[in-house]
Amino acid sequence: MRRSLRVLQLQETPAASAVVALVVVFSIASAHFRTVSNINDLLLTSLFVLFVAIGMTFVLTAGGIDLSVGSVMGLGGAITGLLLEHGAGTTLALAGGLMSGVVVGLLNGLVITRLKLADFMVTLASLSIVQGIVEMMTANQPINYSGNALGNLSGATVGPVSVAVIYAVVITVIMAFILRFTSFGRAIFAVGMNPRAARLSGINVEATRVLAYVVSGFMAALAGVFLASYLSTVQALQGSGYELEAIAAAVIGGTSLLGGKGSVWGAALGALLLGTLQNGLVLASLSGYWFDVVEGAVIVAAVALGGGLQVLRTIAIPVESRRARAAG
Amino acid sequence: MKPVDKPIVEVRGVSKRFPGVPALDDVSFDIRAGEVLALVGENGAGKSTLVKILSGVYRPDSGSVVLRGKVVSLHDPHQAQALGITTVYQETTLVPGFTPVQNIFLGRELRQGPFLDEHLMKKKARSLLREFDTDESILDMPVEGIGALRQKVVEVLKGLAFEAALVILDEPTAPLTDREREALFGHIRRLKERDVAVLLVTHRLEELLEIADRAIVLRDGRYVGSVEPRETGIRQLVQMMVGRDVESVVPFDAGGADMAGGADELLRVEGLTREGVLKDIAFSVRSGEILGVAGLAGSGRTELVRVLVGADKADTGAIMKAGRKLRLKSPKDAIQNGLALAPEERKVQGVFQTFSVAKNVSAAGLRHVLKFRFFINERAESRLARDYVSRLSIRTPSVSQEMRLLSGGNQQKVLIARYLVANAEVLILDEPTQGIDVGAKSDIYGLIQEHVRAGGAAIVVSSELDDLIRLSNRVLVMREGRIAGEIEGTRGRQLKMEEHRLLDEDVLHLAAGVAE
Amino acid sequence: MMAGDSAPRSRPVTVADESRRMKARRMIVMGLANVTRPGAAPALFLVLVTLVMGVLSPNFVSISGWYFMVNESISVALIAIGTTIVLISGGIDLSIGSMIALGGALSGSLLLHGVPMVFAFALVVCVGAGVGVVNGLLIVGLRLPDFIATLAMLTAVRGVLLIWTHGDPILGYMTGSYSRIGGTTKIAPYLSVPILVCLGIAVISAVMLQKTTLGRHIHAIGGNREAAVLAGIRVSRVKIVTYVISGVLAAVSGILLAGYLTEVSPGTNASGYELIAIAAAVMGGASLYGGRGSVFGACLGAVALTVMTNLLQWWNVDPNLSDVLVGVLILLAIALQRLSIVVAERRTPSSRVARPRTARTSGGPGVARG
Repeated sequence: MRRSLRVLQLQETPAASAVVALVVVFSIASAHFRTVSNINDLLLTSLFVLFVAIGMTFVLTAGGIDLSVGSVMGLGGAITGLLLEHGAGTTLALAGGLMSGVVVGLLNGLVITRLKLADFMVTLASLSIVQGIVEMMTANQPINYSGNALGNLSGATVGPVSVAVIYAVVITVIMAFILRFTSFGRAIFAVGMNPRAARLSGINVEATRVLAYVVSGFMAALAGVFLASYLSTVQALQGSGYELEAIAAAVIGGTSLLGGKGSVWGAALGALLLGTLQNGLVLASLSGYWFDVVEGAVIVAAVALGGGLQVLRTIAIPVESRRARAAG
Repeated sequence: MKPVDKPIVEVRGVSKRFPGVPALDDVSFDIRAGEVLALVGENGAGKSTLVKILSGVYRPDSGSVVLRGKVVSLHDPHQAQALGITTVYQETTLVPGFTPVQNIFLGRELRQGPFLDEHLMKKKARSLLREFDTDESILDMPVEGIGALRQKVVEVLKGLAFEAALVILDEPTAPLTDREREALFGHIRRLKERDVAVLLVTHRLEELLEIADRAIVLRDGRYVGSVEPRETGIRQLVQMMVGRDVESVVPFDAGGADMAGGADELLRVEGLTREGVLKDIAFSVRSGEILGVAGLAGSGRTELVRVLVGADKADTGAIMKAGRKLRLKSPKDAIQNGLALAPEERKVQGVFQTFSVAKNVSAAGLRHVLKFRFFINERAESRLARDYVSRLSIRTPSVSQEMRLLSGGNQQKVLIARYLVANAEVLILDEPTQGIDVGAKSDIYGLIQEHVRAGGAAIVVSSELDDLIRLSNRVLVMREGRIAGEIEGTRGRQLKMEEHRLLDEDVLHLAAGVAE
Repeated sequence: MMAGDSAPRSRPVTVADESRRMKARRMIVMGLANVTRPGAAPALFLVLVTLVMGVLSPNFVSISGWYFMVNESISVALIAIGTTIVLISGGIDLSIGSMIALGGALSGSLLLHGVPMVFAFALVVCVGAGVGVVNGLLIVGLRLPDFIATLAMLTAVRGVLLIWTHGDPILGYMTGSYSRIGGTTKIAPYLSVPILVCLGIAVISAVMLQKTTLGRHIHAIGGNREAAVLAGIRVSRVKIVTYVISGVLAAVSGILLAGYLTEVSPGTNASGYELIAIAAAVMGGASLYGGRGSVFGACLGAVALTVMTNLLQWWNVDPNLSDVLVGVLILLAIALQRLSIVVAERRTPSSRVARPRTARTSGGPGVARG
């Protein structure tokens, strides 16, 4: 009895149940939904949000927020594409693109922690700055991905599944591990939950926060490379709107906007949920723009419910707490 | 000016409990119009709770407040203010960018048609300022630039702009210079002339003699009595504040008084100064020693211990360990040097509420449970936690229990465990027994004694004077950022209740700056 | 004469040091207040530009040149005013970007369907107000952080807009009177309807902020929210009102913009406007921490930003650079604001006024301690 109660308390449970429910409903409603190619498509298009959401999870859990991810996606894709066009090897090009994300993240983090400026304002400003830079880079000549080494990330398959999806799973596993089982990950939770206690416990609060932004920048750049490959070209606005989706995915998965609580698997489930929703809407021949509305509503619901679930937990807990107090 | 006899505010049988701690127990007294009544008591005696009840922030569990002869139910601060009870807290509740006029009339702006009647408001404010002999030029300045004294004046005037019956001043002289304090007393006298009653919460007992007509003493949430300080003197006040009939829960530490001559000096502090907060602090602690730090609120105890662990920086001075001057840029450096602080307000500053017990225990000493330097070995972590749970007798169903579900006493033990895991030699504890039940208190004192017997040292900041004296080898008494004096603790010695009481009083005299 | 003492006036001023310190303190505070005075920055910028360009290229700064730039900046000025009001109360509204687009699309569309102009515009304004109410409720009722709530609305409104228009541009609604309203047709030498509207709204807003209870309360909430609550101010209500104003002004801005551009293309969304509005407001003296701001400063800021973008075009600079510049400007502005706060706190250490956003641990009314 105890075990099953604990599953209910997992922060990822609501997201998982929602995904399952949606998948079931859509599968019944549409035969096309159930096809392997559609599922593959679904997974593929959820990738991009997934990566950004994972990075966002790190930042949110540390108690911050990163609104610049949308433009960093463009930056990552652009730089990697440019390097490839100029003949650089795949690894170098990829490294270059990812580095650009790291640099932006580093700058964000440093400005926020050293100058003590509001995180959403700083990342909002860097969103604008990076956006401008990317637009300048892609203005005169589109950066093409078709025909280069990374151009077929989505196309290549292993069996029925895209290679990209496999990469995504691996990356998710690694990031989840980092957040959960490394001292860095533990520090992120501590800093987000109670920065004063973290400081007194010997944790370097500023460095942890900066690193969280670096992770976010890195993941955004990674997402940008994948997205550019999928679209075969780098569009300056390709990442537009992803920041909100990423926040939504993270929050759905149990990450708290206030910090101290987060889950990479939850973010993955959240991204999956959003991807399923989008997929379902497309299949229902609804304009893709419906998704924007739905998304806005979803994030509101997720945040409000997130708070609500917390309240539920504190109400449901007293039973346990009475037991704890009886024991001590 | 003799205060009118009929009381303007009566407090009848007011009680208030917080989870686990009775803050006020059946307190009754009255305040007369035009009188200055001082409210005194040690830290935690209940002064703050009483003030919050009178100002409408809290509601009493039982009892009532009578204002101008009628029972009133104070349910929010705005209503209390409207009824005539103005409270001036230690932290100002002014809008920093607003002028005094705008602040005084905040929420009750006077209007002419749809627009603000600035002229009338300014006129009223001006006449109030004039009455309080305060420069009118501040009327157009934002209050953030007018200085602490005038900010207090503005806060008082907020209440006076509308008929006030009672003005409560909570430690008003703390941020003031000597001259400003005199000026404030002048203002208080003006309030008396207006027949306004003043409730002055203060721990500066000497000030009482100057300005208070009467003083009432709270102790452990109970009303002890009322005296006229000018007649009875400070000593009696202190006796009332301190006298206790309950046995202390500090376990007797048989070998504790024996501070062997060869004991190593673990920590030495010299000339520690931090502008406005600490002045020239110097002391040392030896291995096997428990050093108590006493003092009233605002005396700088917490600031001192924060500097000791690098959480704040001192302007000048040195912290030395084994003869070497330490460069403490952050608590991390301190921990690496064996100095650790379990902060006051453990819920807000110390504990990771939604982390498990195990994660809280390992928080400062993660390196002990790491594999390959970066990966946390959760099994080792749980084992470590279980080890300490049994060593420290921490009551919890399991080490994966969420921290916030533990009782206060057990949370404190977990905090201590955290720093023991980090190999702290000098364990610094700020108010470790606050809000903890008797049994756990005793356990915690026992833990401290055990730690020093094993060769470590402990610095304990506490407002529970009685316990602190019995626990410590020596007690430093702080006042206004300095060390006012030192008292020998009674650790390991058997003394009679009477002798302990005298020591308590000595500490309080030093802490309050009362001349012998 | 040293004020604040109860010493009788016949006694000579004693502690000269203290009086000098107080004087110095006063001067420093006033100095800071003047330099960071709302409206100072953009005003200085514009004066500078006029001087420089006047020397370099007289055509740029002819009166007709100014007229065109001012006319062009009105839509930004309006949302900058709305943003200023929201910022003063300590909040932020990111939804105005899509609100402008929605406002424009709605008015064009309604006109195309033959709705009389007055009713069409009234309806659009109502929609703007409605969005503001939703924003306010999300923030006040569900306790969502303001930027999340308004960011969500930004996306949702854009979605609604795109669903409804299918991304297609809306054209053909222009009439003579709309052209006058939009500002492409002057109504007097160097005067257009938008300029009049903006002036009117600016005056009303400035009066509201400085001279009415509502304005006073908006400042109070942003300056020290706890003090406002203690003073009995209905914080929730006031906050909702600020978001309604912001939504309404965004709607009006959209209406005017649709008249100016003669077509509305929702596909290329009007995003970025919210940032520009914040930049203009902050340039005009609004503080991101709340409690301060100036309507006229915001208007000047809007003009300054328009001048800046025109200057960049004049110099053949990549138009995308202006995005970058907006971001950099915002960063600079908030860094400067933070700096002025730090400086102020260091110079006047004894006036420890409770900072609204810090956690309190003792002594204040909001603490539950025995």
